[in-house]
Amino acid sequence: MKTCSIEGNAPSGPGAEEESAPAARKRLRVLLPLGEGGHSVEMLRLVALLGDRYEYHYMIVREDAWSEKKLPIPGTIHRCRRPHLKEKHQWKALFGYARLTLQSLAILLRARPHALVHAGPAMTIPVSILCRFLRIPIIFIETGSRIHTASKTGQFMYGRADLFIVQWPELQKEKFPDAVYAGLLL
Amino acid sequence: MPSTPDSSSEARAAGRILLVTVGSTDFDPLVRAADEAAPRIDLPMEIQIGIGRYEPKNARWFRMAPSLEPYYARAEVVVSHGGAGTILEVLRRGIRLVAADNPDRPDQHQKDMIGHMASLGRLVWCGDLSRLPEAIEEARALCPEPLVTAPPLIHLVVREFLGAIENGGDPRAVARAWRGRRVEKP
Repeated sequence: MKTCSIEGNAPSGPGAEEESAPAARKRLRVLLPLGEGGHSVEMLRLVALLGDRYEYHYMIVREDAWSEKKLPIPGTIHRCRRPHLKEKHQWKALFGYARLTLQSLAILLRARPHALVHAGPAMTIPVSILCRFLRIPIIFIETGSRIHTASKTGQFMYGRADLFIVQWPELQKEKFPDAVYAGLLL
Repeated sequence: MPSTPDSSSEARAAGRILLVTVGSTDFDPLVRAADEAAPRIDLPMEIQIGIGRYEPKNARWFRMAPSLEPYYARAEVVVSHGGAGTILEVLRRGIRLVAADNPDRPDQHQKDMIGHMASLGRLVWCGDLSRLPEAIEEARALCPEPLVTAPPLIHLVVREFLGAIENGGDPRAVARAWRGRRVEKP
């Protein structure tokens, strides 16, 4: 495990000089499923830090009225339905995921993102699988509540996301040695 | 100053409160336990109940607030749900904290953050709501220092990955170069 500073290998780092004419360059479209609660907080903090050089597409579950009001940088909002894993009948959960998969596909066709970035939870899995098929690069950030234990979404995304980031050095050491640790977003 | 132990009468004089917060969802068992404990605690209690059904009888309460900041400013002790964002928010302000994990949340992920912070002596973990008054008394004896967490540098890694896509490079090569690294300095 190497400890390093970004300076040495970040030619396109923050405020890179060649970026003086952003209008001339076509902006990269980034799709961000927000999840809810802490997952959403993390994504919105990331957007605030990334700044307005990208075109943001937010995927938000219909039940979530909070996230939309807190967007630090405006973007296109795509609504979807949240499936419930804890449904009494398994077929209901299955139906929920089938519907979410179709909605995710429709969102991908509308947004045509260059990259997918998310921090879970399980509602992000269908869109991640579709992005794998469509060869859209995926960045996954394990949620900041995970210090010693991996989330189910994290376990699923490990090896499937192109870039896998954790928020605690303990988690990198104990569960995800191939992940990048780069501070706490939450 | 939250880090200086003061007697309850001084706390009252300074308008200090005990804040109970359940976040954006519901956690009725915690609200009920706090409401029942309120008459026995010599600190005025204010409860944020979220979308819960139980309405407190012995304490002031509200559903949501645009920001909990004004409440934190007056809080002698906070009793919170196990959400990682709230726990970090309270500990970073150096406020005494009792955290109760919500067993209704998926895969009981709240135990990771609560357990970690409890093992460092930063909060009191109330695993049994019938023992809430004792947990509050225990927390009042804490003399917490504001928690310092690693600054978020995730956006720098994300920018470099997206930069490779922008410039027609290979983002997966960027990801491979980052694998297993720890980024601690910007």
